[in-house]
Amino acid sequence: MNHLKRLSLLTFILSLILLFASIKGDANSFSRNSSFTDASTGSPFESSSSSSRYVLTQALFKSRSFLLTRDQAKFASPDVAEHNGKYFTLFMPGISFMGLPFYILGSIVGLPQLGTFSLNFWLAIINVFLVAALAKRLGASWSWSLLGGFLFLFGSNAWAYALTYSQHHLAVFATISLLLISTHSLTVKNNLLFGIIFGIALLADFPNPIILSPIAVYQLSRHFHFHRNKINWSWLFMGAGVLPFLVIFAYYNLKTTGSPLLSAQFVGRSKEFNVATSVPAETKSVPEVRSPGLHLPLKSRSLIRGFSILIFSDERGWIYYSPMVLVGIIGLVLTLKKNSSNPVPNLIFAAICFNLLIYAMFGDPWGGWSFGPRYLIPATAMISVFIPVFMQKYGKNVLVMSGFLVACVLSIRLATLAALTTAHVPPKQGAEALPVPIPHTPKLNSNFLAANKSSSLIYNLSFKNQMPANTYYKLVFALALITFVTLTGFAVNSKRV
Amino acid sequence: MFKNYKTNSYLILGSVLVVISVISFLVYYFNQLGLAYNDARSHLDIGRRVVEGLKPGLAQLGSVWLPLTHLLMVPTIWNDFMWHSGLAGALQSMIAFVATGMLVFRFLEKINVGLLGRLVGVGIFVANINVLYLQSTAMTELLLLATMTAGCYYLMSWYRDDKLVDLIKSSFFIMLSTVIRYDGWFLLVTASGLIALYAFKKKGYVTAEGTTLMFLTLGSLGVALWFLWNQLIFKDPLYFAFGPFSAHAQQTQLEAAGVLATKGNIPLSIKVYFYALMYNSYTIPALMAAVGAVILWFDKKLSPAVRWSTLALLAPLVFNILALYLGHSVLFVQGIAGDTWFNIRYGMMLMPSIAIFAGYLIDKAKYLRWTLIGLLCFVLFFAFANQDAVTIDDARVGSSQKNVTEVAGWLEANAKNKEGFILISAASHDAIIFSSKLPMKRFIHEGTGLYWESALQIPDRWARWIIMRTYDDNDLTWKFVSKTKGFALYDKVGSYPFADIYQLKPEYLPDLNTKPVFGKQK
Repeated sequence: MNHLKRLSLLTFILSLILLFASIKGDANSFSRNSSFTDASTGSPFESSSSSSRYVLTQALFKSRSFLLTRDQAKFASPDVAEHNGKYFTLFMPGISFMGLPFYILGSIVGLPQLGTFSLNFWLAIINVFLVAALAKRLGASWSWSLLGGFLFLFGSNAWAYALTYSQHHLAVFATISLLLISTHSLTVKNNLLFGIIFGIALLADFPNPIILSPIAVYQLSRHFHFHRNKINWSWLFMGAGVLPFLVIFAYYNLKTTGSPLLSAQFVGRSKEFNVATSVPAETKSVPEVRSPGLHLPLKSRSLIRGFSILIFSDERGWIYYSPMVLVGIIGLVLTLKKNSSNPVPNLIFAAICFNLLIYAMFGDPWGGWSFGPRYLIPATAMISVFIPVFMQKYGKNVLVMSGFLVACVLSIRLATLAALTTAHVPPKQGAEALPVPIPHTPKLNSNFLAANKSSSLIYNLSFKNQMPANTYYKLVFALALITFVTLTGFAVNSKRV
Repeated sequence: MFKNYKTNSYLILGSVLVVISVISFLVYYFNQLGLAYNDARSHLDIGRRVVEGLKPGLAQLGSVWLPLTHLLMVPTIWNDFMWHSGLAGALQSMIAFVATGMLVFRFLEKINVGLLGRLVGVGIFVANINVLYLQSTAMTELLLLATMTAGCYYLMSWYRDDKLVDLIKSSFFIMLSTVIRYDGWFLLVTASGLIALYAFKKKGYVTAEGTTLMFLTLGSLGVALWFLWNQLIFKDPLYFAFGPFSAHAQQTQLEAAGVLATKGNIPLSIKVYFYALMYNSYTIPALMAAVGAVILWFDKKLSPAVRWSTLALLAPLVFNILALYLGHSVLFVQGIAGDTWFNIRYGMMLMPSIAIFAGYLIDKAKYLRWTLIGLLCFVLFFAFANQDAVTIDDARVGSSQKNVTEVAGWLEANAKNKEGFILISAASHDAIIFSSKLPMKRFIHEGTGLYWESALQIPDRWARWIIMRTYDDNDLTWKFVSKTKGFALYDKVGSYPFADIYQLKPEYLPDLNTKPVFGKQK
């Protein structure tokens, strides 16, 4: 085994340990008779984005149905829709479908929740290496690239969401995979794979096709050479790859809403369980203007507020929660400035912009109660690709390296804090409107630790009586830092391989 | 051949813009939003008073607003349809819209931007509901944008080619802008400064002095005439600035009410204008323009003189922030300053500049160009699909609106076919005058000379109806009439959100003057 393989193995093992140390749960959820009624802060079901998907997986297994029982619907609320007396999840079903084998495996050993949630656990590990592979494609050495992959997962809220049953890591998987495929030749196999992954992404979340559209358009355009009057017909296999997923989606809609073209998102939230939404109500003293427009959910007027919240704010600011992305942004800008004909940086720029635009225009850029900008996790993965690209070139500059280290340490600290406590932080207005106001920043996570609480299954099972939660947090943070420093050391001293 | 291509491209562009302009006007005419702005109705009334009323004449241009837009209405406003449809005022906005679109195209062409960049620049200006709405109304913004953009375009041409004729054209258009809105005055100062500095640096003091004076001679003509006008009509050259109906007087009231938060607060002034700018432009074009401007100013392929000249495009930005900071202007952005919208359309003043800088970015972006166009299309699609127009919200529910349907409807139903004048303050209730659809000569207002003076003293001899805000001394009619004996001879027959209606008791009608008796007044 050569040096680079050993380094990859080391990254894999350390990532595994860090993720393992932060898996959510407690003695109750670990027990054979665990029920999913516990939706308290820090529990695996603290967010309805996990619980709503989980109950669909459960319904698929137990009832062989896409529909939820009333109890399941209540548990999934407020992210549940009701149509003609039928309950179903408000989310796209992709994650729930993919989690089914994991649920079955988990059920075999009496740990269905743990088994199901491990889907994202493994996707997150795969994403570390996908990010690294893309960075390498852009010219970074493998050592630097591995560091980029590691930072994506452990220097951002991607870590906290690797422990949930949400769509984010699947979106990252799809985005980076498609970018990688677009750098390869146009074969039937690659096109089919492209279509399949695109289809999976579509089933996972509605905005994914828009975020991925620049990559899809580019991949498609590669087949057409109008100036040479030549068309590569293998593009049809892209369509063939997507088609089954469209059929599945239409069938799913038919069984839930009664129409293949009507999805749950357009049915809207059920009000039956009367759970207050987490989205802060906008201040409106001027009468509501009902303009003659279509009233689509993405609004251009929300852009400036959305940008502010998603980039700078202490609520969900990308830079606030992961200052390391600044290094990636600089790397991307410098790469684009070269005006190189390499399409990947341009595609990444486009996909990041669309990712940011969609959610900045969305009525709830906060993503409900969450930690950091969860909607920007795909963008974080893409920007992380440019951290190695930039650092490999400028890392020898002491000032650059100092800034990089500071940014990364801050990022890892916040990421660890969220992973070991909660990703259930309200937006500012929501937090202030509570009967007993709570912080809307990582202060909430610190308070969680200060109350000697942790969401870590390992801690709650094995160390709760041995050490305070804060000490456990420091140990995990130290391990993450050691891994980061080790990888940085290898990267700095590596040759460009 | 090339000349034909150029001519044809302008012809095609112009035709497309004309079609868009006409369709937009028709849309807002038929959905009745074209006259939603209170100011639009006032502008039309001012133009109408010049040709019809108890005392018609140029003096009716008044001092509240600069006169060019009202003067341009004169040839058509005599026609009732042109007046009440708003077309007499919208026509100039529509022509200005087409001209501005073509100027953006020409500006970009002259700084060597390719066809795609030019088209995107024009597209950014045109594909904006705020622009399309204001070009369909009798407001002043589009004409201002056209004259300012033309001024900046010829200024850039002068910098580029050093032809004196361009400088004269620039001063002419900037002069026109100075008689439309006060934004033009700031552009005049900015352009003069840029010219003086450049000429001094390149050719020395003497040439700089001569060039600047030549520019100012024509450029400041409108300003000088405005001072003269105020002196001649109102006996005070600064009447427009400090008179009882001036923006200053309005702002003083707002300040007293504690809602002029931007005054003396530079961060808030910047923030408020920034939001207005972003809301009006749909954000992405403005952000692209910011990047485009930086690239342009550091682009060594352009001569330093041309780069320097484009600073004039930023004059509206500086002007509006300064005006807010100094308390000369008021702008409410819901949730930022004020609980409603007011004058949010000021954020549109940079649209041609945004279009030019963003068009430049598209040209320079090369490999990223299609990505940027894709982002633009994405945002514009949702803007149009959702009919996102903050200017329309301001006009419909913000402080710029004034729904006087009820009171105007009462007048139309009860006064139209009866004899007698209506006493009303045009400064407070121009929208009612307009919306009542009665001829201007039925109204006794501040501009009717002896009729006004007489009616304020003995209302029962002159006015069958009085429209005013009861107990509000800001309403000049109430201020004076409420103190007269004759006021007791009226019954209050209607009370509405913006005004109350008083009607002379029937037993006093025989003593009422119902015909104009003063003849032609001086």
